[in-house]
Amino acid sequence: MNVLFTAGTQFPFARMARVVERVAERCPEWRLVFQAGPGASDSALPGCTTAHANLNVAPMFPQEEFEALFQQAELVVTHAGMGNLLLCLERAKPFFMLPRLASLREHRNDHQRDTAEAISERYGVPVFFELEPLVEAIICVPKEAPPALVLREAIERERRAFAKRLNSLVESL
Amino acid sequence: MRILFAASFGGHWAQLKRVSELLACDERQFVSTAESQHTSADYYLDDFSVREIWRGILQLPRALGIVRRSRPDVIVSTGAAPGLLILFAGFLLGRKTIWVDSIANSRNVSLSCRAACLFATRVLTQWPELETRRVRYLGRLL
Repeated sequence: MNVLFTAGTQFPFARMARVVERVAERCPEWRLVFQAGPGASDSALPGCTTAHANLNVAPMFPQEEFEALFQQAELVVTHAGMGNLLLCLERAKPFFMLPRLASLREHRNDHQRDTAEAISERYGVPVFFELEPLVEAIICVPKEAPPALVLREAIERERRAFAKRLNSLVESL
Repeated sequence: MRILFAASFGGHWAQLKRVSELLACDERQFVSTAESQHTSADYYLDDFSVREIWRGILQLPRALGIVRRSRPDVIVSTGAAPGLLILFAGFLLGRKTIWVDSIANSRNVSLSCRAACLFATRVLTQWPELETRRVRYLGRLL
């Protein structure tokens, strides 16, 4: 199993590092990749980096490398940042969300909680607020991708409608 | 038609690129932040939050310079504060401006969106539930 974890770029996200540690401990044979964020240090990095041979951690992978790692990943575990959610949904990549919470100083406000809940409702993507259930879900993940074609068609339909109305708005200004 | 697109790097930028693909125009120019992290924009501002507005005000001359040089017919921003600053510069220079609030704001529109309501030509949300007389819903990226 090949899992990509991404913590986003703005604030430290120590809880994601804890998830990586626990999955690494229980699945030593899995290939795990963790993009911890440019400012990640100490608690925002997994403590088992050297113990786990198949764990690849970097603050920020270069764009091309990230792209390749994303392609290879069978499952993505991400904070609820819009960039990653767009990417996962557009490519129909199976993914789980762990939103950053303001109460834990993981973000300025709780918009990630709202986003994750809204996306979960619209597209049926699992969202987690606690670490243990997330770790369990990763370990027991059914290796079944979301129906790519249906998802892509739904997104394209939204965008076509949006594009039409946006263009007439611009023309009317 | 020449459109100037502005957003800070990250999720706002990811949405801006997609919005730009939806709009038919002759020329697209881009303003972003985090110049050290990517080279895909034509102009750059330093990142700041709408809560530290003084850092924005200090960059207003730069924003005005960007709008003057790119001479857009329309300016579109998906946020956050640096995008708002470009829209404001556009407003001062008499350009048409459109704010598209991030799809991440599903419960409330952002503080920057409320600020954009004060001067932008049109203000859009990507959630129909948040539509008001001023903030319109025309569709969404997801």
